[in-house]
Amino acid sequence: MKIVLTLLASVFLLAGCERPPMDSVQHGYRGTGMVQVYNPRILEDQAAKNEVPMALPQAGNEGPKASKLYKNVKVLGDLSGGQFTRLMVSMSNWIAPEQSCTYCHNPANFADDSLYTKVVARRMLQMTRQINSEWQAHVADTGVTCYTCHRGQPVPAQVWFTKPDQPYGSNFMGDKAGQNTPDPVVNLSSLPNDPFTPFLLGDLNIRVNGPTPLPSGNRQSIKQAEWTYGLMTHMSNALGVNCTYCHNTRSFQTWEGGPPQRVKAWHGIRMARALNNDYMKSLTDVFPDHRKGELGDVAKINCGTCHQGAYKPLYGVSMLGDFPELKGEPAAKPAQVAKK
Amino acid sequence: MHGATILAVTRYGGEREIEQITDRGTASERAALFWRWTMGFNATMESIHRWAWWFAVLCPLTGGIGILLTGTVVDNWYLWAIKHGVAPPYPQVFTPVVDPALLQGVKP
Repeated sequence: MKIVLTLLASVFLLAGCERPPMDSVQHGYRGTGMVQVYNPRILEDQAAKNEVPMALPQAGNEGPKASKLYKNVKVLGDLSGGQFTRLMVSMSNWIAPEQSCTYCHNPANFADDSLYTKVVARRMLQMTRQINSEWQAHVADTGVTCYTCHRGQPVPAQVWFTKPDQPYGSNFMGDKAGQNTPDPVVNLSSLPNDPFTPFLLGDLNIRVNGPTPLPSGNRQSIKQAEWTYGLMTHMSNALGVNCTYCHNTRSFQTWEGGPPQRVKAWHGIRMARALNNDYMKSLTDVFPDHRKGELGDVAKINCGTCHQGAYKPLYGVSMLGDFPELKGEPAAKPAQVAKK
Repeated sequence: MHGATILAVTRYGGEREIEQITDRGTASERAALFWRWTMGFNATMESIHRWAWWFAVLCPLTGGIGILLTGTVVDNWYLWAIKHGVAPPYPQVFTPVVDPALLQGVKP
């Protein structure tokens, strides 16, 4: 009986752990702990989720342009009729495979902007084009397509909303700042559970270490360090990597001798921030209430939105070669088209 | 450390450690042997307890000194260790990178 109880208790206690063996890969100088630890069973699951869908056969760019063929084409007017239709069909496969065209289009009149989803989709096309042309510091030539985030779902699997303030209670505990309320965002740790609002919407200082050996006026507190750690925990989770993927073990702050991936990540933080402010926020009035968060804010982007647990979205396979239409300049100033 | 040691020899009567302290073949002797293996074979029942006492006293003291020094006398221990030659240099294995915040022309 005792043995059974002991076994049951140990099974219960270990239920949250990942079972060994793990793979450990060294990628820095020996003996410095610059290793990545991978769980081969999780990687196996992920590989299946990160397969790239088949692309439809390319269409030529001859013939009249979409802006001449169809009414109310504001972004993709420079494509040929064939390219335009191919991209529309691909988009419905990527984003709304069940609902198809009518998820965004009024079946009686495809040019009509009455469905909010169409207005959002147009804005997202501009966003995709801007990422591919202006954010190469983060996405390089791999680029992004709708599928990078959507993966066959109308709303990408990982989005975030600003968390409402927590009640102060008796005021004895002070401001909890989202701490000690386990949340998957920070891997169920005690860190502040909404690190996105300050860093991926606002541009508060992420760096908390002092820049000099001796004090020179660094006023960052432990509390601020916890916010930074919250964001970093999210990044580590979202990319399925350890801290040492970007940081040097001997000093997380120093850039000298650290992995070059950190530069990509630095640009990634700026990219997510810019996209949230320039694109997502401008759609606040377009989205219906059931798509918004508790505070009435739109769904926003973080690292997990594209990466979804992989160090590179879709393990670095580029879909942009098959869809050159998604490159190029955003056609019009975003704000003008966002209005209904 | 004390509690775990006594609990570990419970089945030999570890709770009577004081009565057994000078006797051979007791739970106390087994506990003493364990600590001799870990701390060195010259350790005695008394020397181990003296060591543990000072360990317990000095841990919060040195920790406290570290907390008081950090941010007042030293702000960044890594840079301090580099400055005074405590942290050794390591070979460069990655392509050298520069803090993008220091570069002109990148998006802030």
